[in-house]
Amino acid sequence: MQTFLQNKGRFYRLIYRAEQAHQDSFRIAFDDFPMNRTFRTLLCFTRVKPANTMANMLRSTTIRSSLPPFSRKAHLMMIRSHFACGLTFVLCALFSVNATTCSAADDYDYDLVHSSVSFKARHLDISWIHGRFNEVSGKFSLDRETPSQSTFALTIKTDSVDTANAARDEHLRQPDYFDTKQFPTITFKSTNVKPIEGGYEVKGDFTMHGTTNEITLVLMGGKEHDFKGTKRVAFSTELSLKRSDYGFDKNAIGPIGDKALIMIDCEGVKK
Amino acid sequence: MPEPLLYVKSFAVALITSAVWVLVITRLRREQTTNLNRISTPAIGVGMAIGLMVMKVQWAWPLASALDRFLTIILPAVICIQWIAAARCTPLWLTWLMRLCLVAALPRILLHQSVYLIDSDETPLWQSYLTMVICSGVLAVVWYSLCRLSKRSVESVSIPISLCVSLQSAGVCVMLAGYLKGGAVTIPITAAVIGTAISASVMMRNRGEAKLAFHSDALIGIAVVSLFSVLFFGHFFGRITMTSALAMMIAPTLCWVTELRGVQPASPWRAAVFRITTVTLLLLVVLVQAKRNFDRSFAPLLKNQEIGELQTRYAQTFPIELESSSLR
Repeated sequence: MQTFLQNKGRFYRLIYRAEQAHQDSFRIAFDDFPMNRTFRTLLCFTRVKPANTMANMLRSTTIRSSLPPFSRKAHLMMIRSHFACGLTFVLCALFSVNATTCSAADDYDYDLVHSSVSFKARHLDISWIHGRFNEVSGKFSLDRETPSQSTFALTIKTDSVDTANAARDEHLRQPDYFDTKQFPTITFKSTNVKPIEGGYEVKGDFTMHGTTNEITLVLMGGKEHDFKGTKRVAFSTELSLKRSDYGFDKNAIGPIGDKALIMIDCEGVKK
Repeated sequence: MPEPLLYVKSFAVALITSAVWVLVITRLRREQTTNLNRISTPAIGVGMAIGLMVMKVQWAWPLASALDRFLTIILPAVICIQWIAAARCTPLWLTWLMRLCLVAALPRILLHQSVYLIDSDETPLWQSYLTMVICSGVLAVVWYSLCRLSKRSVESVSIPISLCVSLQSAGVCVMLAGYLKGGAVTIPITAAVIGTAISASVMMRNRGEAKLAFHSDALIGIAVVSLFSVLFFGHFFGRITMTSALAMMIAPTLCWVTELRGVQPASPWRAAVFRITTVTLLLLVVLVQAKRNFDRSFAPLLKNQEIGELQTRYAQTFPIELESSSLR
């Protein structure tokens, strides 16, 4: 910033650019003038004209002496700008304090190596066929103080279905089953999280085969473990669903039953 | 699992409905020059709809899969276009303009919201659009060539029948590739086109009109669009190979062999048989290849399935014996 202020001509150019109140030039100005992220957010949030705020702040703090003598009107404007600037900084400070208290949520990435999404479905109503999805991604944000603010999201690539039989996997990818070219993913996105004993009750939208239904998952676990300086947390859940509820053709259900069980064991690595 | 009885029922119902529709409406009109195209278009639509109902084909709303879009957008659209085109006041340029619009939009409609329309390393967007343009081009060429041939021919039942054979073969291929529902929808469509073609030709004979050629345009349009659509989603969503799909799409154009010098049969009916045989021969080759692929990939699964079904029946009949034998 010092280097920046040393160059007076550049500074005026910056003010001029900022006073265009054009978003692009404003962004360029910001690039030249690195600021606190919270302050940037505040500028956007309070709808304070960025050009004015920027100009006022700089004018009031750094180079007042270098400016020409002011008229009365200009002086009043100056006081107003001081007030605005002060208010901005107070709000900034408040926001920064708030930001530190609100950052209780920890963000985790789905660890594919130590997680699995598997399923089983009835075959001929006498046995179970087991399978798994090999490509899964997701992330979750865990707020232990206010669990309702936690979020969970999971994306499963349907093309990665694996039942330990290549021919059957190929058949499952066909439009009679997963239709992987049309519906490449199965997704879950939480909408409501409630703490329960030993875990969380998570309500959310489960989308499979182009159909979205609201489901409730009981996520058990959540115990945190620090492994070589990386925080890890794990959950597991089981989900029972009917394929016919998700737009699978009832006529094509055939020897594989309508009901399927999905078992999710996921381990998250803190970002 | 395939249900042959249901397929036969659906085929019969669609065929009879279309045929009866044409016969009844033609009789009711009693005009000297009945516009058979105008009658045959709704006949196919009605026959097809009833056949699909018998087969209990369901579609999701909002339209999710390519098959849903084919049944609810493309088929009604082509029937409407052919119905408008059949009107005597519709100029030829307008007919072809409507057809070309459908041809251009068809691949895009079928691929809507699929992975092919997402830019990725595996399938770049430009490649998908190029494929769509080429496919539309093939459809336009086949459609135009068959319409042109029908105008040159004395009889015109052979072209719709050849198209029906191709359409049914495409359906079988799609089913053998593991997409049962996609292949099964061709059954009522084929039946409706055959029923309409046969009843229309019977009516024309009774009326003493020598030429039915100009009346098969509607049948050709609906059949060729159905054939293309089934092959298109069979390839892009199922597992039909590009070679098989292309061979089956081009097969009906083999009807042109009778127009070659030195091959022209003496009578129109001989020409019809010659055309259908030529088309069928090519289709047989493709079907044999599809069956081989099926035997290689899916037959082992089905064999195991049959064993499983036998076990189920045995378990249901002799539950205690099975328990005791497993204990032993």
